[in-house]
Amino acid sequence: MPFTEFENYLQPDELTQLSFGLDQSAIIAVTDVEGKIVHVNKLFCDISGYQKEELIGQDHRLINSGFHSKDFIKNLWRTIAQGKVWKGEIRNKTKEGSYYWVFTSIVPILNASGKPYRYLSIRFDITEKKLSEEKEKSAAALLSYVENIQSEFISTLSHNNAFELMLKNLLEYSGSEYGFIGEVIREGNNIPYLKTHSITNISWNKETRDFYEQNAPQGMEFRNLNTLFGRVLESGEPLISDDPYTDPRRGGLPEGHPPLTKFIGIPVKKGNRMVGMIGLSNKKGGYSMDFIQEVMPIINTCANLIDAVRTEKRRMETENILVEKNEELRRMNESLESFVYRVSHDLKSPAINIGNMLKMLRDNLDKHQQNPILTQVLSKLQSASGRLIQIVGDLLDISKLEVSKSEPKEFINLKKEFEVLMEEYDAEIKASNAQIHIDAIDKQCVFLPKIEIHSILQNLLSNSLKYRDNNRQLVIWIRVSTSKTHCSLSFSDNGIGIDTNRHKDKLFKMFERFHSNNTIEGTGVGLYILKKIVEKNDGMLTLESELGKGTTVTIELPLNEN
Amino acid sequence: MKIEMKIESILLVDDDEVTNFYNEYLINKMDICNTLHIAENGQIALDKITGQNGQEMIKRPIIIFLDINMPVMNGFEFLEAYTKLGDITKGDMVVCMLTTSLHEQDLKMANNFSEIAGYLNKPLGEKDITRIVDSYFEKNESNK
Repeated sequence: MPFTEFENYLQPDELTQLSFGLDQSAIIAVTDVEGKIVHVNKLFCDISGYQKEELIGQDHRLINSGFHSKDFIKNLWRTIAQGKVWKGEIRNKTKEGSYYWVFTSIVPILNASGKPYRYLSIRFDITEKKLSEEKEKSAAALLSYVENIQSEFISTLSHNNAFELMLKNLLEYSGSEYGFIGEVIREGNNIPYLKTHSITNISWNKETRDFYEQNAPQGMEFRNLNTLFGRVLESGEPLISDDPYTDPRRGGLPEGHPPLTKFIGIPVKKGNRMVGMIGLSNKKGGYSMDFIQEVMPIINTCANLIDAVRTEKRRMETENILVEKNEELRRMNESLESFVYRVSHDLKSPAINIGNMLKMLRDNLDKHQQNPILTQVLSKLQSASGRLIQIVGDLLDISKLEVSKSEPKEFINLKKEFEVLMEEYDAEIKASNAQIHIDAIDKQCVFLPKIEIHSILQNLLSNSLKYRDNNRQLVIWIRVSTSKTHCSLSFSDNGIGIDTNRHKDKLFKMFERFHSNNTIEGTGVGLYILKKIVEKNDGMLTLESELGKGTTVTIELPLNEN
Repeated sequence: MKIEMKIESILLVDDDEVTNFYNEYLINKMDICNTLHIAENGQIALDKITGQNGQEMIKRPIIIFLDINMPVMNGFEFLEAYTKLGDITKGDMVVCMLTTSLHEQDLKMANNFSEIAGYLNKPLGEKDITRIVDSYFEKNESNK
């Protein structure tokens, strides 16, 4: 007897004790070589749910659960038929049909010629261990599902893909045939309806196929609550049906709908709010409430995803409102700008007319009448109308600057442009006996719309001419230097200067003047226009000035578009 | 070089009565043309230079001061019709835009018409008129 060392230290009556101990702790059965049961102990009966009489004489396959492969069984039989001990984990079936797992050792009992004539099987219940192993496995699977769904959503930012994947995983995990994932939407009347984010294509004819293809991508809407999922929507509770066809809770299926054998409707909740619903059907063996607990990680992910979809939708809506408001503001601004333009444009004609009529009046009055007061009044009127014309003209220039947007920038030779301007101002320059030094290499250019560089140079020159110091000859220096990216223009004069400390806040404001001298004609928009043009073109303007010494304006402008 | 010569006709095209009143006064005072004509819009101006629709044809050469905003036919519509006139009808005419303020879009439009000899901003001054008349004669002198 090679398989026992007991006899070395156990007495024969103690061997009986051993067999008693085994009988008390293990599930024991003895079969003949054909597999017919000849003996079972109490533990065998307890776990299998059979009475001893129901088992004796029966084929051992009675408790076969059909779980193991043919190869697995073949290998088992081959081993024991050769007289060797087989060990392994087997799933068996109880009389009631439920399963239990046992760790099994099958020991062949040999006859004198060494051939097995009986098999002794000793088993231990490992059902709990197997269940917890299975749980671990499914938990790992669920975790990887959730991970994949989330990374799908994060990487593609498409909730459609994430919902598709979620449904695919749920069908796979549960062994279901069809399913859908939907969002619960409540409209003003508070009656919920379902909008699918993913649904199995169950179309059964052309009509339903077309319907699926047209509607599935943007979501199908199910508003009929007289259905199994309608019950879930209304109650917020899960629903399981093992026979959807005869279930009284169902309202009916359209003709041709693929057979529905089992159904589970799972509410998807975020806190207490039901935000969605998952429906699955045709799992073999049906659904259980435990299943819901099992897939809770996916259900929660689903709730989060629906929440994300809603947040995104709200964000888009807010963004759209913002875009609309912005557009409205832009239009209002535009109409305001063109309003200023129109008003100043339309005011200019009558202002000019008043000036001209006053000129005519003066021409014709002086000859016939020598009334000193009338002459004085006329002269005041003329200077007032002159000022009116100038202000309206300045306003027009400013509004033109704002209204015009699309003038293309071009490279303009600064020296040439300045020479053109000097010709325009020839009379004024001669009258003021100004000396002008231009220190600019011929090729140096600025990158601006032509009309704007003209306006800049014109304002600089006319300011210098206007605010000259009558006690000395006016000298103007113009220096230009360029780098690869910028053009710098510096314009200096020896005029009366501005007290920059006192006026620093007002320097570039509209209609600000810094000299009380009424003999200087100015409306106070020159610097404003300068600054406006420079800023519009992403440039920088600095002004340095000292009373009684002069003023230097430096303008730096980029040589390319941003 | 200043050429002291009188132009045959000047045509003021403007719908503003006061503007016309003053410009007429100014031109008459300068004594620079033989006849001065006024048209309140582009259509009347067109009729006057072609002698149609009951208008008497204005004698050449003509200097035209053209406003833009006018009822019935504005300055640009006038220019369009003007460019379609035959060379003989068009001959010996100078068109000069005279506007309150030339908007960029207007400037772009105006650049499409090669017939325009110059742009002036209102108010029309003596210097402007002298310059236009002088340049007309200078051009004609060099063409001879």
